[in-house]
Amino acid sequence: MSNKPNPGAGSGRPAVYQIKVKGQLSADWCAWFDGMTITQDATGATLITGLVADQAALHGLLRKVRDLGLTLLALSSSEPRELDGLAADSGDLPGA
Amino acid sequence: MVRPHLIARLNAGLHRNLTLLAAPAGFGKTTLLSQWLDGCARPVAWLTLDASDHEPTRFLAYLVAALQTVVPEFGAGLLAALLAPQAPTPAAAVTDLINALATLAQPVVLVLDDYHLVNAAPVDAALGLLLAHQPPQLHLVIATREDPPLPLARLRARDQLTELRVSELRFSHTEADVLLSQTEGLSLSAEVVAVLTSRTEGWAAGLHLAALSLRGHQDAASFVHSFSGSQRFVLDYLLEEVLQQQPTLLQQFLLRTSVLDRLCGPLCDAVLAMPVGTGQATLEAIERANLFLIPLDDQRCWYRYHHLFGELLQQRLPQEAAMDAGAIATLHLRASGWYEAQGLLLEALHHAAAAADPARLAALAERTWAQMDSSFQADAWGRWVGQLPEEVLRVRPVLCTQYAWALMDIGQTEASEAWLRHAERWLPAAHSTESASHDEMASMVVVASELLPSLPARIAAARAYLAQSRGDFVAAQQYAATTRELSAETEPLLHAQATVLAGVSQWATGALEVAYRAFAAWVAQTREAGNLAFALASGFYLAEIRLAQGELREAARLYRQFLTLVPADHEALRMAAPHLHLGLAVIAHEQGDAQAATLHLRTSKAQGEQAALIDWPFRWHLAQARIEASSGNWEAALDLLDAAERRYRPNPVPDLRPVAALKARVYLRQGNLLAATAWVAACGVTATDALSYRREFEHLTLARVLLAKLTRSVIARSRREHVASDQHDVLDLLTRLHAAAEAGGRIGSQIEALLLQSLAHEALDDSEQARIPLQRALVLAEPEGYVRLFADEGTPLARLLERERDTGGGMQPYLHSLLNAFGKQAAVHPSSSIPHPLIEPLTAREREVLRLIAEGLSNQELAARLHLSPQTVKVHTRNIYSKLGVASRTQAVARGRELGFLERS
Repeated sequence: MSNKPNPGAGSGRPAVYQIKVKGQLSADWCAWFDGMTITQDATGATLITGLVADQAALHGLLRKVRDLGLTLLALSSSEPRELDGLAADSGDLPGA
Repeated sequence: MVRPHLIARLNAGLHRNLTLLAAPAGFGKTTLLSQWLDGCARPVAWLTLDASDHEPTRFLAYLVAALQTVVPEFGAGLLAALLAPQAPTPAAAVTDLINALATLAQPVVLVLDDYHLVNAAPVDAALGLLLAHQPPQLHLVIATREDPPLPLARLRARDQLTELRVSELRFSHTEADVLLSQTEGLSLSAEVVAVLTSRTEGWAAGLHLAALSLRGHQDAASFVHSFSGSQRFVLDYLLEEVLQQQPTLLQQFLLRTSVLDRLCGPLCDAVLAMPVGTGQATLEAIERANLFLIPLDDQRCWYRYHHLFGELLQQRLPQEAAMDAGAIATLHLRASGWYEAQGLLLEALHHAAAAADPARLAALAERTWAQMDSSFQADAWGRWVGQLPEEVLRVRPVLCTQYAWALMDIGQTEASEAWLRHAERWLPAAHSTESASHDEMASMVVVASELLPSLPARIAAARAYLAQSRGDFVAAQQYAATTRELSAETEPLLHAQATVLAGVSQWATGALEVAYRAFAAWVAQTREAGNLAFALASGFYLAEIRLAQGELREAARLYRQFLTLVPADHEALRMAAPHLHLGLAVIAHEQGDAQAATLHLRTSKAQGEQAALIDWPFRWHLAQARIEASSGNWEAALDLLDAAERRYRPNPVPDLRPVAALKARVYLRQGNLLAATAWVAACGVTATDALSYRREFEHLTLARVLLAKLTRSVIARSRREHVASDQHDVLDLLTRLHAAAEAGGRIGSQIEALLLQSLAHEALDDSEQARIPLQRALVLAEPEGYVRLFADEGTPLARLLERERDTGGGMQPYLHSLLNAFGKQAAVHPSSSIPHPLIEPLTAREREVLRLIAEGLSNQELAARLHLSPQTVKVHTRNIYSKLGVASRTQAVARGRELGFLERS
């Protein structure tokens, strides 16, 4: 996953975002986060990854993180194609 | 549990400007604050914010209202100004707020809870301004899940800020020990407490859930071991633990009821298909077990889950084995059915939509239309129906017709007509131009089949309304006749409605008495049938017709009479009240009673902003424009007229005073003859037109333009040759207008034409001739108490009236009061001592108490009469005082009369 700025991210076009939160969250939370993919990394943190329609949708997701009292560790974005088909193949755009 | 060191820190921070509690959900911010403030020596104003408080004026109004709960007389003028149509800029309002705070004798604490929900830069800016010039009397407390965009760094540097953040709000080992042993009654080793504190990181919600888990565990050590060994999200882990310990039935109960926004016993019984009474008992058990259930009333009737807990449950629901999408939909359907049976139709529609079952939503909507419409909820009903897929809606002729009706109500005439055509396709060929084919007929869906036979009549009635809204009175009369013919035997209500509609057409053509009788019969009929909604809506028009006839006193009596019929505790019917207050404001203004006009206008605004009928915003702006114009605030008046025009929605009641003509009158008074002349050209009225009631107002406006031109040419003494013909045009037009108004029995228009005649003669230096129409106008105007009709004419008429007074003719007192009104500002004075409007209406019981107070009963007598305890009566009177903004029984009665809650003595 690259952290370089994504031209799509600021321009209102969909981009892939990854939200890293503390603690393990089961994949059952996927629907809660608008169909984002939920995985664990090696350190025991949770990665919430998926295609996000625009900045407003991204802030909506961050608000869900906040309202559940989850600890936000990192946020990164990347080109949709770097996702290796994680969520880019799903037609659903959260917040779209 | 009480946390003394935090309370001490909060107390120590009182001398600073701001206390900030910034921490995520579940850290106990609100609990800590309410404990602190319970023991706080200073008076505390508390404002819990929500997402709708993003508009700075509204935010400041709530803020002042919150301060009034501790200092009742605080900023009354400011609150009124903030609620006024032309509210001050936020910066000006904050300045006033600071000044008001600076005069407080005693310091106060103001809490803004859930500030993160505001999320609006203009509100942050207003608050920043307050902080920058904060008087020492105010201590501000903000509780939020995210840091507010205020200059926190500067406040920190100046030692003006106390902060309690996660690191402070976290439960320490010692505190967790106290919490778990004392509050939760657990006896745990120091080691276990340490592990729990570290695993939950001192998160209050986590500790609370951990305590709940522990209570159900035989083997505390093994639970603590696996909890500490897990890396799972604390709440996720603990919720599962807590749930698993509950009996299966209780688990199911918690998860399944999480689909409900609020819960009550019978609703839970229905949703879970349980024996009656189970729900209530379970809810009480859950509350006793401290499972994040919050009672919403004192009677233990309605509850809701703590938001965090409710969200966790909802998230978990689909993971239950039996809970696929279909099973969850079933829960929603049951909830919908229960709400429908209770007559809570909006909630019923909400759950039907949540069940993602368009057929159920459509069927429910079809059944509930009449009830929703008759309680002014057609708008909300229409929003749910608008969500239906077109193919579901299209095959339901009854629903199509109802939807067309709802769209018509909100002025969407074209869409309305389109759905009428959809409905018509299913009717027998006699009533339809383009019928559905025989094969298609099989796909038709009708739920409320009893409505099907009357559909042709209903469609015709809708078309009559639509035609009337377009101003096509011929078509309106034809459709109304068709409706009456089709509904005569079978549908008495529809038949009566069509009769009213014909009456409305009569109104537009000037047959005001005919229209009045049609409405009066309709009001009597609907009141008899117990349909207060229709009676109120039409009662308003009765008053409007009297107003059109110039009978101010009778119109005011009608407005007041219908105001006493508005049930305060019926949310939908209350929507009629802002209209009625608006009518009273306009009359009070005309009669020169600025204080009453202001009071009614503010009450109308305060109530109307919460809920009002569809054309209220339009009418409200018109009334406000009229008052501004009377004060000579031309630009403000023109802006308000523009604002009104943007809010106009087509409706069957004729628009007899077009906004363009109203604007032309303002131009004239402003001296902008050019703009007024441009209106004449655009409008197309001429001095030689045949006259009609519909265009009377425009013709009177034209006469004013011609008069202004005439006056100007006379003064210029130029183009003398034109004067003669202009003179003839004006006088002839005015004579004809007066005759038409007299024949139609319209006093107001007669007076206006007479005054203009008088001014025209005066402009032509014919003083003797000017007196005759003036005297006739005075005779007509005096009984109704007209003032502004005279006063708004300004200096030229004042001179005529002075002369009349000096010649010592009759009606000296009236002449004196008229002359007094000239030059006097009819403005709304934001800083005057006029009490602020009633934001929260009185309940039925409070009105009853107020009525008995007015009869002179003592509290003891009242208590006996109403079978209440003296304590309860005291609570009622206190609420009445606070809602009316008064301090004594006499004041309450006087204010109740002003506001129309009591008949005038």
